[in-house]
Amino acid sequence: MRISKTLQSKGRIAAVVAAFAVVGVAAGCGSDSSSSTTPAKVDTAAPAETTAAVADVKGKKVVLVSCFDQNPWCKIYNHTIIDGLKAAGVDVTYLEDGFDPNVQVQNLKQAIAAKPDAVLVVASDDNSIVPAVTQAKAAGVPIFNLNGRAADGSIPNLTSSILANQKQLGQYAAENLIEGIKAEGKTGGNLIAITGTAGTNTAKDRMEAFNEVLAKNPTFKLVATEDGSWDQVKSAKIAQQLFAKYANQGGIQGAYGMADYMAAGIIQSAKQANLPLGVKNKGLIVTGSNCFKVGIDAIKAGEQYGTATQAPSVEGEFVFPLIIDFLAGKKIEALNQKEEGRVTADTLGEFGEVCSLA
Amino acid sequence: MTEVQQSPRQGRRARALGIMPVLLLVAMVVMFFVIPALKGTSPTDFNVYNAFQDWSALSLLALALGITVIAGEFDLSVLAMYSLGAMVAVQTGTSSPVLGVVLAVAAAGLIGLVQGLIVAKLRINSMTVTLGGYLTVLGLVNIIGGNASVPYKNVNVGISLDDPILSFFSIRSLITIAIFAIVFLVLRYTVLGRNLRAMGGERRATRIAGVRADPLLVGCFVASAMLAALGGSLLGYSLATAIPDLGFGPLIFAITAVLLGGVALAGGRGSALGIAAGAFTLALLNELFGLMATPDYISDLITGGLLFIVTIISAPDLFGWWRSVRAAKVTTPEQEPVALEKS
Repeated sequence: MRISKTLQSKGRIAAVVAAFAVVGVAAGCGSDSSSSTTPAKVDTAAPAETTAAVADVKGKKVVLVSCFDQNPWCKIYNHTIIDGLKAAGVDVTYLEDGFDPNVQVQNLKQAIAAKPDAVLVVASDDNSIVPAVTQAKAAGVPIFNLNGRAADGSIPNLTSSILANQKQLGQYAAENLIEGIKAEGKTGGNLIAITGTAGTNTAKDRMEAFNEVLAKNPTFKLVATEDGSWDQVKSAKIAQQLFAKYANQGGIQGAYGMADYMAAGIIQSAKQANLPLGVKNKGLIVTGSNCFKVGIDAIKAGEQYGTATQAPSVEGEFVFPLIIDFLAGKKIEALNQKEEGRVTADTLGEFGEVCSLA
Repeated sequence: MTEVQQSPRQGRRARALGIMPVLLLVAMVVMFFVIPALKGTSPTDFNVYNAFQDWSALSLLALALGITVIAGEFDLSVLAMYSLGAMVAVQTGTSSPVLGVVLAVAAAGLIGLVQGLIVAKLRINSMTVTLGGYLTVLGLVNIIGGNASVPYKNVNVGISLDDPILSFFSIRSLITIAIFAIVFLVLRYTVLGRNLRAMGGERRATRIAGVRADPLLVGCFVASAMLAALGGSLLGYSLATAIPDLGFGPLIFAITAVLLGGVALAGGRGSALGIAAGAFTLALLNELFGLMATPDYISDLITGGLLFIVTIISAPDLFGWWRSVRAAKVTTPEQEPVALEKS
């Protein structure tokens, strides 16, 4: 009896350890994440000289430290870069962080310790990578900041920044709202902005440009700017609260969701609040950004006035030729910015396809 | 005098579960070296250092939570205290990092005191009280930080804290090891520790035995808040940033580490050493994920699965339930004909 009870306890431990061993082995599974997705290509040609550089970069090592595949934008952006580099023979390691700054810094330090030929980072939090970037510089590891402007403390230690033009994206959002509201015959209105993670340079830069446009159009007033944290559900909830708050203060005429899926949350809340949507209904004008299929569909349905590009595949295709150039020994500029496009029903023919990948 | 007597069976079970964290850690260490070898790579000194860094970032949070679990409570607010620690330290510790940490720990301790008093004096469930505490403190952190992440101007502090020492360690991880050592000694060799476990196992009996449970409980919440804030402030310096809302990742790590560390969710069982081992097991697993470039969804799957399995296997009634299932199987064939006759 005593032995059997002891065995029960030991069996319990053995079961835990065995289960643990199984899940541990699984950690090694699927580790070649860099080959799991092949995004659709777009007609954005790489610079001609890049082709000649390809032969010089075979076997070079690059580590991409970035947001995870569960985010549709990140998935296409990251894998466009990975596929482009791999096609040139570059050995790419992809470390995901799920927008967790602590995990990202751990990954970044691990990448730096491996002393690859280049580290590419899409910062989850601009400030939190400053010490790691400083260490990369000290260790002689070239480090590239991608997508959003780096914190001031990182910039001197970066090899280069390859960015989307975030200010253009904010500018286009404001222009879309003003144009849409004017198309309804109104001369001004109350606007709200639900942003990506507050405090990041991406959100700051977009809002700065957004406000610059409003400054030239003083009849349009930004009554609330709230942090939607790149989250559709949170954005919908914030929109619902703001619609209620301003219902007796002239209402809301225009809403900016910093990504199209956030704009989708705003549209959802407007419908729940029985607010009319779009120019045709002389209703709420909504604009997004970052170019998602949900935004394009909403524009086609007349529920969203516009968006702006930053299509992940196009942004990714802007990045990898520059990295290949660098690996081939060519000098690249400290700041490289991708020009963005404004998307409305009028320009769907130009951007509709490329904006429907995510 | 205050130890609650265990039956021989409970004693065997407690001993068996007591060595589980060590066995898991050994298994993890083996896997940490074997699995990369199967893929043609191998961990370096840096990977071990990085695992210690991850451990030092999150293990104090696990310890903060674990202490309350051992006491038979559950402090959900540790996550917000962790953010508060970073925010206060980063905002106030530019010229004197030590002062920043002291202020952060003191502020959290004060809030922990309020929560502890509410739980102890009003006999309210700690989950609900600390859920309120979590939301309130998180709101406070957002107000202090202006609803945005706040950079720490003295970047060199973080770099110094994280400088490798003896290849594997850093000042930050050595501080964390020292804190764990102190808590281990207190829990293992003092009346305070014995009373805490006894209170977690059987609070009413402990009160009858003459232990002043209320001050102990209040002290437990104060210590929990202070440990979480200390962990957060060190992380804030290391990242040179205070981030108002870190998401639930750190809390998931802490809960998993506590359970892997052999702490009973029902209270009364667990040690600082076990929590340290549980946290280091997870830190090694995280480092293994990084080393193998494991996709995030697989990492989540594995961590979640591990939490699930350990929770089930350490359940107090698991074998009782299993015995009853087996007994039912044995008796069912004889009962079936009777049921048919009745129908």
